[in-house]
Amino acid sequence: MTATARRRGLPRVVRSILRSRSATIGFGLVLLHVLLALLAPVLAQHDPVVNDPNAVLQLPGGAYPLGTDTLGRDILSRTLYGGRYALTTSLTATAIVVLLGTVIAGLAAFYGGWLDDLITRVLDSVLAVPAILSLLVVVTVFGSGTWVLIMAIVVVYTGGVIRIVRAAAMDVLPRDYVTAARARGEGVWYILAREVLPNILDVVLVEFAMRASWVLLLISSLSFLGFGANPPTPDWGLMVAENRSLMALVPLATVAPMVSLATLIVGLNLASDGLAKSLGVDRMKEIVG
Amino acid sequence: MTAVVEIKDLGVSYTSGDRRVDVLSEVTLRLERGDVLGLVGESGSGKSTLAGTLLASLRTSSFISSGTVTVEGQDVFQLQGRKLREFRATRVALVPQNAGAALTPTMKIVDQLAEAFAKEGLASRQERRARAEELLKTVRLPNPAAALDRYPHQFSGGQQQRIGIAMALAARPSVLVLDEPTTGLDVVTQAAILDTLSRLQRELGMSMVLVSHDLGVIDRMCTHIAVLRDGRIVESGPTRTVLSEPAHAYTRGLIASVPRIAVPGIPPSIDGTDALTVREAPTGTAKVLEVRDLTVDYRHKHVPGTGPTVHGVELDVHAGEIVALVGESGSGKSTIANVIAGLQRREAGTLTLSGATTLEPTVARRTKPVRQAVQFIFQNADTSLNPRRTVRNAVDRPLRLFDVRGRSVEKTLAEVDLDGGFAERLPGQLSGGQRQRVGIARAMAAEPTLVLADEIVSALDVSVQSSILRLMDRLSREKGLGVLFITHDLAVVRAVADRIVVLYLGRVVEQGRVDDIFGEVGHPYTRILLDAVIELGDDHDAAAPARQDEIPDAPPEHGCAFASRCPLVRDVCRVETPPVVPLSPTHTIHCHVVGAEQ
Amino acid sequence: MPTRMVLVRLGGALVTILLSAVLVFAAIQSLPGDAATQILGQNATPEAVATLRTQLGLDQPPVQRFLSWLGHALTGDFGTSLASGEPVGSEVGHALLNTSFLAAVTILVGFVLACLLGLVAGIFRDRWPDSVISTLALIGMSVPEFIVATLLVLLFAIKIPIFPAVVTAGSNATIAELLPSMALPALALVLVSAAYIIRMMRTSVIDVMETDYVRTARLKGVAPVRLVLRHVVPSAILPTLNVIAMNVAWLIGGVVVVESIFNYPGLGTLMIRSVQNRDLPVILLIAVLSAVTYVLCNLLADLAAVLLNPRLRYPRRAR
Repeated sequence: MTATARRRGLPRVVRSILRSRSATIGFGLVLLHVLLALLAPVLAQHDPVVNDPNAVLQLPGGAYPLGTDTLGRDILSRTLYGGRYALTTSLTATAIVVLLGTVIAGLAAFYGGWLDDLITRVLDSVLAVPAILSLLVVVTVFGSGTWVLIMAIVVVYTGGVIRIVRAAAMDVLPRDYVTAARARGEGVWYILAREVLPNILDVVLVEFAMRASWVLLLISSLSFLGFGANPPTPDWGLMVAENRSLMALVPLATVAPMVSLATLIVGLNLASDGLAKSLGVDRMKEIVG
Repeated sequence: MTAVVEIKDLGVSYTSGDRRVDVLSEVTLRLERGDVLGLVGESGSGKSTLAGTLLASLRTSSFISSGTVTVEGQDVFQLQGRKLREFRATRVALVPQNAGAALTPTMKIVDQLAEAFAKEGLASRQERRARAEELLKTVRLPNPAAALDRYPHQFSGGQQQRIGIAMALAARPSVLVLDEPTTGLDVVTQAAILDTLSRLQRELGMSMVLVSHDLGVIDRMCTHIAVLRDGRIVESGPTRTVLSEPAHAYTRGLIASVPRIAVPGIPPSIDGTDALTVREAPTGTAKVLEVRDLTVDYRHKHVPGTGPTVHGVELDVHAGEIVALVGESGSGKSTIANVIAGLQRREAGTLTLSGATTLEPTVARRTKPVRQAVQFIFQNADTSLNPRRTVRNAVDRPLRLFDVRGRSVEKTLAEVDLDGGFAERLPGQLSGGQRQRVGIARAMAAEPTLVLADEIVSALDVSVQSSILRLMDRLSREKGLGVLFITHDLAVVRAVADRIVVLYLGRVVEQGRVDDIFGEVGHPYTRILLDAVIELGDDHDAAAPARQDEIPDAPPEHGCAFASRCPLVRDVCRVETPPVVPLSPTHTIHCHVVGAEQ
Repeated sequence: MPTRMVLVRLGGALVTILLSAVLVFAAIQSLPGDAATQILGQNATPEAVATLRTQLGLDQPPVQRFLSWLGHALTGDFGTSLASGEPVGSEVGHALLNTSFLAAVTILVGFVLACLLGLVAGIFRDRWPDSVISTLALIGMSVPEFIVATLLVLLFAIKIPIFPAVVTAGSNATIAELLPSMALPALALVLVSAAYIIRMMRTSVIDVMETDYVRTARLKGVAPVRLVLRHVVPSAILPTLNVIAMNVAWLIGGVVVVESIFNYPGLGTLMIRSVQNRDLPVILLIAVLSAVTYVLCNLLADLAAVLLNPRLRYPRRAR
């Protein structure tokens, strides 16, 4: 056997990602955002949520490198903390979505029959209602706020994950090694955890990276519409909405969160492309299901 | 005579990372007009790559590292754009290995054929249709006029291969390149296609290059042969000379390792370390499996005129015995294995293990000792092992699950001739033969009494095949293991089986000891199968013309399943289920005609 | 066309639509407070609220209310808007018409272009046309709608004022009045939705280019244009149909951000207003309409696939 085949799992994936320029840029961007978010308390010189009537609409420079908004809040600090908010909410929501989706998908694929039919039918109905409408309804029912937002995302996005992971699991289940396990009389959890999961982990990982970017898009859009993060939370979408009308006056108040959001999502997209390529998963098929 | 094809010092390579890998090196060949050249070798020998170079076709990352390929005086790798297209459209045509995948699924047959003779400039639609129909007639496609407006998926594998040949012939090429044209087809279909090909070759005076791993096919078809190994030609010359007096040790080993119906026993290994092994059937051992009146029905609802997929199957396996279950694709042989393993439900029938335990229909209802006693070995070693789990995981699991005492992973691996070092490897780091050994080890770890081996050697090269057969022989003798050996390959059956059960459309047509089945008298279907087998050293000119019909989709509701194809058919065959006729104490057939004559 | 298949699918589609209506109804049912309190405000007397509730039929049990809604809906009566007092059917219908018009412009211009770009990218895989198109597609799928829309307004309405920034005509504007202000919203929608179509088309073109049958056609000497049109495109468009269907469904039911930025009087704007007002009849009808669109788009994609794919059109082997 060749040397390439003997290299095990993770190092091989990392190497193949580093070989691709765009994947490296993607992971670089995500890493940069993570670092900025971690270092936000150190880098930010002002409290992101405290109003300062004496420093309203300051131009960039001096104590305010990116200027201030209508309430006199430092735009740099708000943008930095905005990254914290964006990353924690979107990653938490995505993690819950993917975990829940994977478990349900595994069970649906394994048992098939009426359970599978029921799950697919309900899923289809959830997916048939536009995501944004379901989100608006959930947010209105439970009031806005971070946890409600995360719950809303779970309601809306778990269906998509189930669809994809179920298809991947259905692809693995008829393989002979699963048949061998069935013939031995193995239980459902053993088969799903030991035989199926290792072989769909690549799909699950790519799904995670991709959903994270969508979730980020959705959370910021909701905040922009006024249904997401409550003011004065330093959320990028909210910041754009608050300062959009003053673009001529303090352009950076809109541009800074826009650029941050766009670079993070581009980063996540490039990263999931790179991950998909090095793991051999077809990302477009992921989207369609 | 002028050379149609001349290959000089050809080298093909590709780069993987920083390394250059040679696929072909120093290949020199000459093909005269009207010659048929066979390229033979095991997988990875570079034979398909070499065939592709005749059409100036290489895989994307490959390149020519030395030498030239000249067809009718034209250096093919110098051609580009329009000139290359014209060359491919008129001089050399390819019949690909899997015609089912090589025909565009969204285009009608007539349009695909018309593309191939577009250069003739037939003006009207009528003319093009007439020409296409004529081509389909040439390759003996049934009902050619109706076929024109159909799509590829509406034909059987054999018919698709015929269309592929028609498409290649359409351009009236000087050279026809055939890449494993009959691999994956049943023996009867293979014989028919090869018959058609050699007739066309004679009539059109074409030169042909035939790629095959099957020495019998090469012997049947080719005037000349080139044996490839690791991208080099080890030996070439006229077929008869090379096959009867091989000069190179590799050629000798290759020829010797091919299992043959004419030579009973497991062939020697390719390096000659293991000699021909003839099995001795065990006598007086206990029954480990008894199948009675087994019926399986795939039909969701009753389709008039058709019967259940598997019906009335009865067979026994004794300890230490290898029983071969033989049939073409669609004969229900894998279905039967799945039912025995409890992976598929049955409509009727009883299965008894070791004369006492009744086998429940599903795995879930079987007790642990029963699940332990019946083990499965799969056809495709690539998919039978979890690619993310080590060999140790695979072998250790049954040891723990069934609480097997006094046996370790290492000991189990040693039984299948793998050393302990393999335990930590992943399936991707093993060769096909090694993977199949691990599959066998996983079954043996449970210390079973009955093993179901489903086509376990069909995907392997002959050299590996004989070593796996030898392993199965040893395990069955040493452990007193009953083996139900499922295969479509009669030569493999001849090599390893003690008794044979012949299936046709889910019905047993004949069963008996290996000598009974390969003897003089038997079921007409078995006769047809045996006649269709093409073997090294047969007198191919004396062979009867091949039958051009194919196996139907579903068994009939009444009468003998084989009636629609039987040369001896009588009225009664279409109405009444054939009786079981004993030809000898060990040999029975299910037939209205042959039995009656006795 | 296999009629049985169509009937089975239609039956499934009806169940899906009904189930979506139930889900949305149930969700809104659990709203704290209801339309009555919403309309009358915090300071209303309990008596006034109770009277309005009876008037609106809110005092009946949920199951009965859903069934009565369903009964009326089947006769084309979707009730009256709790907020505006107008018939829901005409209010939603008007918004739907506006949204459909915007969607039609986007689909005609954007999706056709997207398929072509995807085809070009797939054919010129890993060469410069592919790099350019793929990069654009990546940016398209990464930048949120509200950023795209905001930038477009900044660029084409403020810096170079050639298009109006927002729709100034009221919510009852006619299509003709809306037409000039449609350019920017449509452009924003094209930019956002074309990305996925481009990527899917590219991927499936690459897949098809690597099949045995395309290799065989090449080795037959088929000319490049014919190769692409006859051998590649028919198979490559099949998986793309589903992505197109998803996008069409989104264009009808999900364009909230772009519509609200441009103040476009479509379903999205109406949706936000109704959610804010807890206007159950309006929300329900929007949800049902969206579900119908979603189901219909998928059904049409499947039917188109059957028409394009002979394997589905003639499922049986010829005898």
